[in-house]
Amino acid sequence: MSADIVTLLHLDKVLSSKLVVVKEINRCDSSFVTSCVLNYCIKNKAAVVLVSTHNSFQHYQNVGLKINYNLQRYVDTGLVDFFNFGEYCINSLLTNNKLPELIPKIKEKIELMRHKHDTVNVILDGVTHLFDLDYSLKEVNLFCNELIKIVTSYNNSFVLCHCNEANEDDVSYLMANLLAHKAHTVLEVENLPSGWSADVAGHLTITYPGLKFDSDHMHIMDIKPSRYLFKLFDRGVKLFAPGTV
Amino acid sequence: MSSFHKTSDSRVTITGTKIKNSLPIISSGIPSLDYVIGGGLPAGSIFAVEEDVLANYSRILLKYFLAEGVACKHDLFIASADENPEDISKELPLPTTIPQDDDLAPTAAGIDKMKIAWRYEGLSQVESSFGSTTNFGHHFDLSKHIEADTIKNCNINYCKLEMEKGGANGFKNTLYHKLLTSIQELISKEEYQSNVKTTSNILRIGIHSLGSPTWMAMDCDDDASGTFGQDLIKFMYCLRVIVRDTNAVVFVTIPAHLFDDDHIMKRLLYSVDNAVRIESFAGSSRETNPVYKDYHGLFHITKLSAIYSLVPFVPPSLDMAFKLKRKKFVIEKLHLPPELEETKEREQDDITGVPKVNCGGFKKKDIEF
Repeated sequence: MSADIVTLLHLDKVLSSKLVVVKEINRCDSSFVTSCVLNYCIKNKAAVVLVSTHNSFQHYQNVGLKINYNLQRYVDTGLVDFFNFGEYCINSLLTNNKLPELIPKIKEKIELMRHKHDTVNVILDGVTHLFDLDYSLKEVNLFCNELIKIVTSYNNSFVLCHCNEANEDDVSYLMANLLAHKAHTVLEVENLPSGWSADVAGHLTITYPGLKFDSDHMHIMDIKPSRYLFKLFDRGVKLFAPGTV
Repeated sequence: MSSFHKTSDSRVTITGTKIKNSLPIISSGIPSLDYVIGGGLPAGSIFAVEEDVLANYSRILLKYFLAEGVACKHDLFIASADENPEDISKELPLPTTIPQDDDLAPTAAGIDKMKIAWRYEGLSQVESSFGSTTNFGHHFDLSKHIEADTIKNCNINYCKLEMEKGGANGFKNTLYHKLLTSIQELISKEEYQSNVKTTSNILRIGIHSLGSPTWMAMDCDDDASGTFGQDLIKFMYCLRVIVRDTNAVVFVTIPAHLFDDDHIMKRLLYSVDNAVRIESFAGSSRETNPVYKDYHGLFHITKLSAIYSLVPFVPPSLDMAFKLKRKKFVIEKLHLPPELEETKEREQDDITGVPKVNCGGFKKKDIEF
């Protein structure tokens, strides 16, 4: 059931810069996108570095078992590298009283993977937590720029960033927009404004700013976004057109 | 012989827990609260309560959480900056063995039972209180306290937070640093790691009134006003990373109504796993409003997240209210009272303060799908 999402994200296409930004609006959780993308990468034997600040390895492992892949096995074989970035930063903060530099450690991991694999994709889960740790907007923006440059220049690899939008006048909102400006695909997931429903988990909106200069869209100012409703299951996610639930 | 073997969960079940999504969950001490948040509090998660204005009910919730820990022989950690945490442990309610139903006084034997019209006889009884049938968790009597000897025999760690001179690694405010390192030190013990099979136990961490003026007073003397509350946000995120994948459960009450900047709470909610908000009627115009006469306040669920799973729990209702009885804290679906008096105008219509909750008031623009 993860195929729908992967098709929407255009991960199978060859593009010059493959950056996918997932915006979490209204406290929505977008970790299902990571699980679906991991499933896709494992099936296609594409290497992934999962840099996580929000969810733990155990979370992805347990979700993966239900979706039908054993993440631990691929970590052991070296296809997937899980980097608990939050723990790394906090250990440094509490013992050395300083935040670590963002890029070197991740760069090292990516380069290590490149010895064995043709493409090395990066999933960055929880960019917004970097602001919680007191990194400045400049530092986070430079880090993201550098990371995107390193990853996407290499054999059609992609970067997937999860950004949480806390509030419209918040730094997290600004960062999400900065990344969305550079992105090929922007996926917005949003909880229902009125609360929860057993039939639908939330709204999903997808736009492709990367296609702005395609011949099809040359004469249009704003590309029309596609809107869907999504529902989560243990084995994946299902998309519905609005009004069809 | 079949080649398939069922992999049994080798994790020893700890008293007072049940397994959901291959993760132990514990009771909050209030069966109806467990029910509305999806069965209980998962190990390795943070549960936040946004306090009511007078902080009466949030304190009771914290006491229930800790008392349930005493009843299940879990280890406790109590932290507070506003008062001595040992005082909180002295007021824990006593478990009662029989679930009490003290709202129905026995009626006099002479009076005939009310006869139900035949057309309604077949209908099942409407159950508006949640979780009344579950046997997970205990019931407590708020009028009696657990004896001091029992408390002494429990493994309780207290953390009284006081202002200290000297630097703190990573934080401007020493209180946050002290609390975080105390928790980190405790959790690193072997029995609280989730991968340890034997001798494991649950650690219940109760933090009272986190971010209250006592805490905040120390990071506002900074020149840059934009950093106000930054230490609190940083603390919550660090706590999230530290407790994840351990047998610790954090229950924290936050006086969010005191923060004049509402983005602090929104940022905090990203690090918190489950969160609820209590809106007490005490002191507001709703106290005397006949619409709410059966309840003590409204109960809002602000965040529910799915740990080790994709599917989040969907609460049975979004309009909820609570009432506090001597032996029970109940969360119920909010019902408007029946109209019994035959007045020309409905009584509710006279009330100037129109309640915010929607009960059937539905416009086309509200339809979302």
